[in-house]
Amino acid sequence: MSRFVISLCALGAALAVGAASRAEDAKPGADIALKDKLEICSGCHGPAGVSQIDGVPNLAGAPDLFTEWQLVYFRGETRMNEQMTPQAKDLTDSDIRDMGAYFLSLPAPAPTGPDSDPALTQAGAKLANERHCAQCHTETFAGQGEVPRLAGQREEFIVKALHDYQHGARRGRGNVIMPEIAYSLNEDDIKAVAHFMSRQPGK
Amino acid sequence: MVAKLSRMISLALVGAGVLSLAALTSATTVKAQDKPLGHYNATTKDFWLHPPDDWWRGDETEAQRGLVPVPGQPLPTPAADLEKNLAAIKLPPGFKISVWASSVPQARQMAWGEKGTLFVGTWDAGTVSAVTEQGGKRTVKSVIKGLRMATGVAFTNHTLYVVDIDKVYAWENPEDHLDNLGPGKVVYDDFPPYTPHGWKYITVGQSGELYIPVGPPCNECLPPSGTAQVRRINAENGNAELWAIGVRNSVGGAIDPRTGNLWFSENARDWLGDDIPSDKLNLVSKTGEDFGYPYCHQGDILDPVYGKGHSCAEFNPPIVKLGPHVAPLGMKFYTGNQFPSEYSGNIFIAEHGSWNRHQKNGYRIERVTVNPDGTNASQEVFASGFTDGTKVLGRPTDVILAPDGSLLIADDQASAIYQISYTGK
Repeated sequence: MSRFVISLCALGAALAVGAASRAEDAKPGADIALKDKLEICSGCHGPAGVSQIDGVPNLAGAPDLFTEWQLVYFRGETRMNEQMTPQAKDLTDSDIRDMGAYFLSLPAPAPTGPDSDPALTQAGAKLANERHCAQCHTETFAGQGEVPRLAGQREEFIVKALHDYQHGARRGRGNVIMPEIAYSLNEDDIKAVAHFMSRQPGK
Repeated sequence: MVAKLSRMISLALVGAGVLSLAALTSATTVKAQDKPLGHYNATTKDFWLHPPDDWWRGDETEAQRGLVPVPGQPLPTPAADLEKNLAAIKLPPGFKISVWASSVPQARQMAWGEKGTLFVGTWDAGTVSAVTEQGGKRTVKSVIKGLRMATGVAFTNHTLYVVDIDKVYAWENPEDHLDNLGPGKVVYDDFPPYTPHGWKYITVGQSGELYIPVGPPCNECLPPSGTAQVRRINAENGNAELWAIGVRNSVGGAIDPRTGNLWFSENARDWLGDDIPSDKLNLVSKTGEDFGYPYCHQGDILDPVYGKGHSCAEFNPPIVKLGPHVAPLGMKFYTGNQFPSEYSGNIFIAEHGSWNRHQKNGYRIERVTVNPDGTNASQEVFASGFTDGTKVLGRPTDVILAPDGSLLIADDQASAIYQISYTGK
């Protein structure tokens, strides 16, 4: 409940920021309120940007430029995804800016409960260090700029993202450096990195 | 000399067996010195298709931790803000800069069609935009989608060429059907498949041939076959010649109108320090010259690992050292009539700007004056102010002359194209 209240406050703030630039947009979707568009997001990504669905990432606390880039790629058909490419088609520039600000403003999910597999976490930490993940994703793995937050991300989604990079399925930002990193990880490595990242508090 | 060049060389390299390369150690930190020597098994095709990830990272010192490429700006800078940004641009007396087109996504290389359309490449958006003008109003439209790194575009012989990592695509008479260009015809497909440094630039030669650089898929490494070079491609029959070797990441070039020779810009390696090595402007005066990568940087610094056993005297030095990490990209010779006569035959180079150093460098348009044979070279800053040292307002990626002799500048940060004109006032 408290999370929902916070997210509504953040939504209000994001809407206020975006209102000024709304006038310049003349896209088909421009007359639909941002609030209604965000409700569509929350259908899968969760009302507070924390997903309860396998394969759907958490967006709460994601760097704003990261969210914006991905929406720009979906809208421009660079990144093809059954759900997201059509959803993003009619978003305006100011919608995308507002969504970037909105998801950044939501409290990032923190891992709860005891670690189900501390050994796996340890193996993941070692790999993260060897592969220099922190160089771009920051020392806490909270992400920065266009680089996504990994801390607290859903474990199975990180696995999916690394598989997508391995197979060249993921287009857009990240496809310069991530394919080679993902390629050299085996399935056990991927499981370990994903488990480790999902357990990070991000601060 | 031939098409299928890279394939032939890769066979030769597989035959060479296991390569054991020294790890990418840096003499500047204890941490780096403690690293064990790397061992790579180069006998498999897999190795060459997927270079080891430590070819990119692992060279950074403690002081360099956290230096990352400048974050791109996903959305175009609104037109009103562009005008404000341009007020900060410094130019020589008599020149002015204005917004020529806004909302041109991730604007990279530009090429004029024969009916007045400006085609503009992107980077990882994988699209190509067309800027058309009707009744004094310019319209920007994404006309090609679904490529991976659609950075290099060129127009010659009634044909639009786009290079996307491993292929060159062609669209004949594209301006007759901009609304439906279709998938394009593949006219060359023999580039290596690497995405890192796989984005390219096309320089059109005087007989319509395409000069295209092929970057190595690493920061500093023994380049896999078919990379670290410039090829000259005949798009009519798919034949390719090796035009220059020892070339790192080059994303800019131009033909000297005085000689027909190829000049090209080149981005030097990262992680050697804030002030070395300098990026380069090179001249190819005869086929097959070696520009030194990965052994020698900026013409006079041997690489700490790969330079062993070499001397910089073995390689072609740069004509101009453009400065450390300035990231020179697109360039053109000035062949217009609008600018004062002393600009005639000068080279303008778009400098994207640094990320691999602590203080920003580049983010400007450089002017180079030089004889056709490379002698008497001098450089000066032509347009600066795209950063205040902290905030990045714009990142120049390419220059092209407009029909009236003004200079257009592409900017992939603000997603805009600017026009620099000489008014004399």
